[in-house]
Amino acid sequence: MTDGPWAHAVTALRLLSIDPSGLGGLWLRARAGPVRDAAFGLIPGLLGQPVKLHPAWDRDAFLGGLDLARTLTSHHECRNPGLLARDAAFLMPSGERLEPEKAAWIATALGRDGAAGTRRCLILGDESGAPDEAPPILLTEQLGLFVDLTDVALGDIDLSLARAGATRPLAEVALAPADIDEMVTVAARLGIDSLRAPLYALAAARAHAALAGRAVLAEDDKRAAVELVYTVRATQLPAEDAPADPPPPPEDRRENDNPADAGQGDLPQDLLVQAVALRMAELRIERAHAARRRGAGGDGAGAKVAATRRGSPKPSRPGRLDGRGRIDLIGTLRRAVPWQTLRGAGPGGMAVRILPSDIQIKRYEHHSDRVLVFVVDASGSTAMTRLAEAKGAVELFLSRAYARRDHVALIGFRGTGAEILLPPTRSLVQTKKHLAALPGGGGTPLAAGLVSAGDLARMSRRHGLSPSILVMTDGKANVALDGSADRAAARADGERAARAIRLDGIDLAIIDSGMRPNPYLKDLAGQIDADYVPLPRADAHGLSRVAGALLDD
Amino acid sequence: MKAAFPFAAIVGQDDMKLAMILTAIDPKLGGVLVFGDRGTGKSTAVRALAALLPPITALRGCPVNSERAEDVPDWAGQIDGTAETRPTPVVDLPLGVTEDRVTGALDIERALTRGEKAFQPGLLAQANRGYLYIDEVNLLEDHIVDLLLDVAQSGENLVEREGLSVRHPARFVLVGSGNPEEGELRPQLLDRFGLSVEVRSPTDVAQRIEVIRRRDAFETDAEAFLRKWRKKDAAIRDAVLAARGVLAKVAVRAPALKLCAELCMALGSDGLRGELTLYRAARALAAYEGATALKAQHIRRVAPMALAHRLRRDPLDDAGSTVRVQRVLEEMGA
Repeated sequence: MTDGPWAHAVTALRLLSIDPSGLGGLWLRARAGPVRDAAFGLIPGLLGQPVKLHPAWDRDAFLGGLDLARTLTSHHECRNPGLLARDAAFLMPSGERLEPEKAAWIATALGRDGAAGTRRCLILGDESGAPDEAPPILLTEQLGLFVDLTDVALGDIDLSLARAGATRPLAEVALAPADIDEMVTVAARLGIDSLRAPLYALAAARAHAALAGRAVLAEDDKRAAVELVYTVRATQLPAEDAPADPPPPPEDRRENDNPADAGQGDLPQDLLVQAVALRMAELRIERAHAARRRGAGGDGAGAKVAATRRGSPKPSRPGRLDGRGRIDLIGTLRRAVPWQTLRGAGPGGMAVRILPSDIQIKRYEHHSDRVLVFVVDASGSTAMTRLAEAKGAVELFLSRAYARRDHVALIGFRGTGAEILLPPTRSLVQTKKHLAALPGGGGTPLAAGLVSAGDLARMSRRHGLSPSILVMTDGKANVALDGSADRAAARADGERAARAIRLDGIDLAIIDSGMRPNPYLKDLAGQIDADYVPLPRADAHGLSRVAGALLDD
Repeated sequence: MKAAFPFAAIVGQDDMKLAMILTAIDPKLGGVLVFGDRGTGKSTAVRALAALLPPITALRGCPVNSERAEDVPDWAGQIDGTAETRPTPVVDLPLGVTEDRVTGALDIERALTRGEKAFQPGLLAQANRGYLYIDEVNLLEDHIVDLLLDVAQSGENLVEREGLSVRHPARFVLVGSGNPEEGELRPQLLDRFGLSVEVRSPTDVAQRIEVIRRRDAFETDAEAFLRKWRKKDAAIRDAVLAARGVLAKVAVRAPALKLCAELCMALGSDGLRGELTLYRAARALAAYEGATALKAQHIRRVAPMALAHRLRRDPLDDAGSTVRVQRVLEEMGA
């Protein structure tokens, strides 16, 4: 088989072997398994032995630090340069677990300007299925190529495709001005804002031509390049190029951003756009970009910030060995070392003499980030105002929260179920994008909302956040968990869900937004020891105040 | 290290370029924050900034770039002491940097070999009298931000650790860049930046094509490209130098100052720093354009970049801060 994802992966690796620093790297979406291992197995042959990286490693491993052992033996300060200083291909198998900070270190090391001509590039494995879990975009932005091996079967693997080396040196492949125009225009028509994308596409096309032994770009080179570079970055498809199953029209594509007119009737360009459209359909990534389409330019990263930032290291402090604190070895030696000449040689010729007063204990500051889950009743006629106020409250709250490291999530419930409208985030920008349009109307499945909130809160807690839940409803629960319109069952389900939340030790506050306080809600709150706040004209400022009070308890 | 992309060759992004030029003319403006889309050449512009900065005179061997002998900190020991010109330092503060590296720490080598307590200066010492650049500034770890805020406030780096007690001047201009989607910047840090600009990808295809063409030309043959642009870069640098010379001579009359004050009041920007920055930036622009007096048009041009990040945020107003500044400008008929 010479086409399909496996062939694309092989092509991508071969292109990387020709121009590693020009392409930045490969974002390889694949589940852990033999297919992915086979792809990784090709790397040594094509790119040389890769330097493996792991998301859990600490600063010193990535960026280097003092090499104490060598420093002490050589009596010179020896620094360990860190893995990222190597001139080699890097391999990070589970990139979806990478925190944004570490992603930024790697992105910097891959070099915005400085890496040209080196062998540095990154193969970023990504086991995530959903776009929300994708690796930080600040890193994937710098990886030119994307391949999805999710649907590749073991039988599709053909190792014979991989052969190293170009048949013509890269330097001999010339770019025509028309090639540049074409690549930039195609990128613009696909709604790709970043100007890195066309650069990568051009680099990929050149490398592809070099592979084939051509001195100028052929259509084939450009097609391969746009497929590998633009597919994952596209945020829109020009309507006239839509494949058989047209994706929904982009919601806010800016007029001047879409120079479709300029490219009308330009056949090669249309072919390139179509090639990308086809690949997107194959990989079913239209959905992945629904979120991006709304706000041309990014997903995931905001939610990733929501991942833990637990335990930022603080300067070590003198302390005692009590078996609890961890010793800061370097700090301790640092304190001990200047005094060695004064203290003289240790007993039995010990090289360093350490006194109890030298001991330094590591300190970590554990700011467990808090997440506030707003659960909003989106049912009935007042749904729209309530949602609008809730949205306002979320944004107001966030605008104050950034200094305090709070995250916010929003769940709406209506009809027969609940929906996460905004996954936990700290980014005001993300919030505005997600909350641009909110659905409303239908029955009141309070229980479903509570269950959903409970799940989200528990999940956040597993990610190291401390959750609180704020429910805003008029309490006229009339839809049970199973979706039936049974008022009694609905109330019982609601009570059970609320109790489950409290049993897990998660703070819960109920805001009664009905015109008259609802005794059911008040009872419910009383029974499970939750806060109950009647707020008949619940406006954004009031809500935000209550939220603040809930967290400050 | 490869040469930086020439400043003059950056296509479009006029606001960003103007902000860089203004901070080069008047370092007291307090730096530039560039926030915006990915792949718009933010870092490229900051790295190109170095080429615009006129060289400084410093004593040879001084770790903090001092100009006068009495400013050399005593821990530096005996230094050569002859004056030399060196490029204005533009120091990169990488993410993931350790506190030791920023503030400086005990010199381990000397401690090991000679049993001496000596201070090894860090990035803050290097950046004295120059610029400190932080890419992805909103991802900077909190304890480093705290540290920077302290030093930026006092202009002095104070190290009290490992039995060392060391101080040295650390006056630098902060330049930061980042993408707002990674998270917000702490207000205290935001306030340290004099100017802030939002950058967007160019929406015009012709302009985008030009960007890529120049980038490609630069990557294919950097030397030829630099030669081609050297003159234009030099012209900008000369203009910056000239503007520095006449900066103090730009006449500032009462109506211009009144406009600054009114604008800040209408926008409800916190504190007086906004007015001061607005006035300084407008004056730098007037000097750059060769005007003899500060006019309303200068103020109007720089108002968005001087004030947009100082507005009390109103999350319910969807318009960006820049738009709000412009709206008020229009209302005032300035």
